[in-house]
Amino acid sequence: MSFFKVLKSALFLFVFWVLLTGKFDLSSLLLGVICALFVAYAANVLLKDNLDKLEGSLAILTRFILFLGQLVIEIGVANIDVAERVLNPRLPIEPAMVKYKCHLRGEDPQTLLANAITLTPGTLTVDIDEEEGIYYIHCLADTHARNLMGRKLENMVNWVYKGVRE
Amino acid sequence: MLDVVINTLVIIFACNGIFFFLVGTLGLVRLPDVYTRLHAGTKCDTLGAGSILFALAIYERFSINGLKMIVLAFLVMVMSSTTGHAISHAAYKVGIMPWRKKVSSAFPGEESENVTES
Repeated sequence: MSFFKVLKSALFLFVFWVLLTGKFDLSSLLLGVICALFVAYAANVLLKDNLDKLEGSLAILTRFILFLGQLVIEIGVANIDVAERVLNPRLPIEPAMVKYKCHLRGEDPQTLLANAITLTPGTLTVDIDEEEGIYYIHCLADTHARNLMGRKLENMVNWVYKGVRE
Repeated sequence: MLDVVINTLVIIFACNGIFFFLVGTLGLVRLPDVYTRLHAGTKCDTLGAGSILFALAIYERFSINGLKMIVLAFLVMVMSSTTGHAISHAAYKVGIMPWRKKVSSAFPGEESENVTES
């Protein structure tokens, strides 16, 4: 257990504490420091194996925040499409289960991609085969499956973790 | 003047959120099976709740309470995608087949078992 690592997670927890309490007087800040340090220490002891597997750096965090912005735009655009389908009296949907093979390796990128796919309207991750990197995705219509095969989301996730665009 | 701009933005985002909530709820009623209903339930509600929370954040003028709303919007995003995955995964494991559009068979009396409700 490294002291530096505990301090780093304590800092994140403290920022979160300040956001949630919204007070800047001495007693609440001091309580925040104590709680953040204690929780960071306890988490490091209890969840050591899981925490070691997490890849994280400041560069990844900044790129992740930029990625979130892009993702929100994607969600907005695709949501209008789903709304159109739901409001259309003929209900023009052709649901299908699609197999999607991704080239990402590692638990974190795969989880992020699965969540991004689920958040994008029209596609829903049902199951993942981690070793082969195969996703079973439920699509609301053909166009969504074709959008998915454009690999735009996968390239974005790859950029978050590797820092290079393909 | 600034008040007018802020109020307009708040109303636009809140109405947007209400619209997507309405569509999500309507989808929950209209769509045929668990997977397609999850599409409506997890997606439209994410955008609906997200833009209502964003409207509240603007209303608070991004003070400390407004920033809390942004954090909440992020948590809603994470939560809805993980619960959507959990429910669909469970449904898949139990063996619920995805609904398919009714395909009329070439032989009379041998139509597909899936019947469209609407």
